[in-house]
Amino acid sequence: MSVTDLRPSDLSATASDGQLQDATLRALRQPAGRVAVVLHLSRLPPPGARPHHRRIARALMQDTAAKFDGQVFVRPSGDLVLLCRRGQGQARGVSLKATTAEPLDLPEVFARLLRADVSDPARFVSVWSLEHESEVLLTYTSTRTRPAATPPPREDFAGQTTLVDALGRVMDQVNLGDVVQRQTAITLRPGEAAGFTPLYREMSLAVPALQARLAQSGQARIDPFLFRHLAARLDQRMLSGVAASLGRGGPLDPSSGGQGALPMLQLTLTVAGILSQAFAGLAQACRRVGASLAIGVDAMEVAADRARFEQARARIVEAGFIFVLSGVSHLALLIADPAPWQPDLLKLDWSPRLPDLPEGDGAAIDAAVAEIGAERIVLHRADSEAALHWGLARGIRRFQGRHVDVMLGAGRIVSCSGAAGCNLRQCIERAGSIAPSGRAGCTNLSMLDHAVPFNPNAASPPQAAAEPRPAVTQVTA
Amino acid sequence: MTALSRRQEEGQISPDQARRNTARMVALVQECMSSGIARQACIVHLSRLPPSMQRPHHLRMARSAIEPLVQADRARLFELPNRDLVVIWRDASDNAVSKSREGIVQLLPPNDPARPQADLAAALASEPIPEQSDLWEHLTLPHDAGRLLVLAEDLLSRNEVPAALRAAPPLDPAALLEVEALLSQADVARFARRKQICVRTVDGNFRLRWEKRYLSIEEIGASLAPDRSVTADPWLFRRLTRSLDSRMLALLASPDELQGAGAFSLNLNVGSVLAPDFLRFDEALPSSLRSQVILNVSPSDVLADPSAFMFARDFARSRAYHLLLRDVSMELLPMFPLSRIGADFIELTWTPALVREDLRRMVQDIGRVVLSGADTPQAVTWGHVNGVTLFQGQSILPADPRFLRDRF
Repeated sequence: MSVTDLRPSDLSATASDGQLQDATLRALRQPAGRVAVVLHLSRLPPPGARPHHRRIARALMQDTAAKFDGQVFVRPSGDLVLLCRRGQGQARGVSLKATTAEPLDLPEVFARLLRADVSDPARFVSVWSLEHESEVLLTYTSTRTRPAATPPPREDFAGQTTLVDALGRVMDQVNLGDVVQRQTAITLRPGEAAGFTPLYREMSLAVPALQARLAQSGQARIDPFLFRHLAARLDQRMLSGVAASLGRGGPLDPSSGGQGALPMLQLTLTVAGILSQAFAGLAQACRRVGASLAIGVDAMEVAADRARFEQARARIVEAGFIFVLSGVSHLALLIADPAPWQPDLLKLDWSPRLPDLPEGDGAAIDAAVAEIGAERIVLHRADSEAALHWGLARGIRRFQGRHVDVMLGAGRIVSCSGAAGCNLRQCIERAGSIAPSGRAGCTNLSMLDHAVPFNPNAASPPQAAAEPRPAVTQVTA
Repeated sequence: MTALSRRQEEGQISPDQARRNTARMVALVQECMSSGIARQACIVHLSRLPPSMQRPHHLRMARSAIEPLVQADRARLFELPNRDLVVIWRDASDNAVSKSREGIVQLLPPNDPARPQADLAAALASEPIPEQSDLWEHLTLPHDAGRLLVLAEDLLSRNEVPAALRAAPPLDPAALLEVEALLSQADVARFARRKQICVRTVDGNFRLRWEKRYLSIEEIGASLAPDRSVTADPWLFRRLTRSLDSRMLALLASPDELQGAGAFSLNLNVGSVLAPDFLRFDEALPSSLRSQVILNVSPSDVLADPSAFMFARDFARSRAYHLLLRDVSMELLPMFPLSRIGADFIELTWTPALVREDLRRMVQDIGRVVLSGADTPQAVTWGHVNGVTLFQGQSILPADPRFLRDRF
C-alpha cells in the first residue's frame, strides 16, 4: 500500500499479532540483509500517541517499505513494525523519493519527530537484524499486545463543530456556577510561619461539567480554534456574572479579592471579551468599589492579533487590573520568547518532562525563566511535588495546580471541625466548585471558601498577609 | 444568486480586483514619470457621493458617462477600492472630455426645485451633496503624478473591508458546518489564486522567486455564504481554514495540476500538515518540485499546539519542505526569533507605521524576511533601505516572468 492509499480509516487498521508472527517467520527463512524496525508508540507516556504520530510514522515507514521490499504492520498496541531489506539493492517498480529514509536512518528520523513529546526518543525505536537478533524479534512478536489503554482521540472533524455548537447552547442556558470551576494559586514563602499566601483564585470553564450537562462525551479542547470560540461565548456570561456579584459577597464577588485570605479573582478572557462593553462596565464598577482582578489572556490569542491584544492590554492596565499571560508550555518557551509581551504574571504549564529535558533544552528553559523573571512566573498545572521542586530550584515561588489543591485541602481537613464526615478528595472537589450542588455535604462553607485554612477557634479568620501586587504593566506607545 | 455573481451582474468589481487596479494605475503613473511622456488623467470622485447615490445603477451611469474618454487613444480606466474612477489617456478631443465631465455632474441632483427630481433632492437633503467641482478632478501627467500616487497610497494602506461585508453577521458553528459541507462539494479551482514573491536583484530589478497559491476567502465567502461574514468570528474562520487547506491540498494533488509549476508556497494550519490530505499531496508532488515548496504557518497556530508544530516542522523538513512564519507584525518579530522557531522565512506584513522601525535591529538574517503587502512605493523603499530582498505586493512586478531557479 502506498501513502496515497492511506485513508483516515486506516488509522484504526491494525494487523493481528498472528499476521505479524507469520510474516516474521516467512522473513526469517531468508534473514540475510533484512531488518525489523519497530516504533514503540505504546511506550509514549500519557496521553499516549496522537493520531498524527501514527499517521506520519506509518507514512514514513511505508515509503521505506516501498523502497526496501518491506511490509508495515500496526500492532493492536499501536506499535509500528517494518520488516524490510537492510538497505542494499534496487527498488522495484516504485517511484523513489530522495527523501525516503533508509531503514537504518529511521531511528534518527523518529527521534527527531518525537523529541517534543519525550525526553529520550531513542528508547522508542528498535532495529533488529533478522540474521543476528531473530530471538529478540521473535520474543517481541510472540508477545500478545492489547489495544492502547487510552485510545487516540477521535478525529471527527464535523462532529467537533457540532459538539461545540451544542456546548455553546448549553452554556447559554445553564446556571453559570454549574459550569465554572475555581482553583487557588499560592505563593510559597519558605521559612515564614504562614508557609504560603494566596495569590489569586481562578474561575474557569469546566468543560467536563458542560459535557456532562449535554450527556455527551467529546473532546471540545481537541481543536483549539473551536475552543476559543466557546471561550468567547463564556466571556459574556462570566463578565455579567461577576458584575452581578459585585458587592454581594459570593464566590464571584471581586470586591472581596485581595483582602486577607480572600485573594483576587482571576479570569481568563478572550481579547474580544476584554474589548467588549461588558468588560468596560465591569472595570468601571470595580473601580468604584476599589476591587481588582487578574485578567488572563491566552498566548495563542496574543499571537493571533497583536494589534487587538495591545488594545485589550491597554484596557486591562487602564482598569488597574493585573495582566496574566496564560497557555504557555515549556515547548512554547523553546520556540518563542514571550518576555517582550511584559506580562505581570506568566502561567507556565508544568510538564513531568521538565526535570528530564535534554541538556540544551533544559538550559534554554532556564534562560527563558530568568529572562521573564522567576518572580513573574506561576507554575501552572503543578500536579505533583516534583513540580514544586523543579520550580523552587529555579526561584519560582508561585504555583497553581492539583498539588496545591491537595496542600490547601489537607490544611482544611486538619483545621475543620466537620472534617470527620469528609475525605480529602471530597474537600478538594467542593472547594473547586462554586455551585451549591457541587458543595453539598460541606458543613463549613466559610472555611471552604477561604483560600487558606484557618483555625476555627480563633475569634475571626486570620487575615493572611496579602500578596503584594505584581508590578503592573506599563504600556508604552 | 450568490453575492459574487450578483456583484458581477451589477458590474461591480471585487475589492481584490480594485486593489490590483490601483497597483496597475501606480505602475502606469510611474512609467509616465520615468518616460516623461505626457498624459492626461481624471479622477471621478464617486466616493464623495452620498451612500444613497452609490447604488449599482449610479455606478453604471457613471461608467457610461465617461465612455467617450475611455474610447480615447491609449486610455485606461481604473476602478479604485473606494469606487472612485480614474481614466488616464494620451490624446482625446476636448469634446470627449467635456461630454464625459457633463455626464458625471449630471449624476448630482439638480438645484432647481421646480424640476421633477426635486423630491429626490429633498430626500437627500440630510446627506451632504458634493459640489460639481468636487466630483471631477482633471490632472496632467507627469506634473500631477504625485496626486494619484498619494491617492493610491492612501487607499492601499487603508485596506478597507467593504461596508457590505462588514455588516454581514459572523459565522456561528451551525453556519460553519453548512459552509464546510458546501465547500467539500464545490469546485474550488475557480477560487484558486496566486501571488508572486519576488527577489530584488543587485541590478534593482525584481525576479520571480516563488508563487503563493491560495484560495480567495473573499470569493468563497461571497459564493458559499453570501449572507455571512466568514472572517468576522476569528476563531471559526481559523477553523474554516482547515477545510480550505484540505481542498487546496486536494486541488494541488490532482493530476497535472503541478506539471511545469515553479516554486510555490501554501498557507497551511499545523493540523493540516499532519493530515491525510497532506500525505496525498506529498505523494503527488513531482520530484522536480521537492525542496521547492514552502509551508506558511501562523504564529497563533504554532502557540496553540507547540508539540504538534514541532512534530510537523521536523516532518516537513524530513520531506525537504521549507517553513515560513506568516502574518508577523513588527511587534511580534521579537517573540519569534527565526533560529528558535526553526523556520526558514518570516513574513512581515507591511503597514505604514513600519517607517519608524529599524528592521536590522530586530532580525539577524534579513535575507529571510519577506515583506508582504508591499503595495506602495513607500513600502518597497522602506524594505530596500532595511535590507529586505524578498517582496510580495501589487506594485512588485517581475522584470522576467520566469522563476529565478535557485536553492532556498
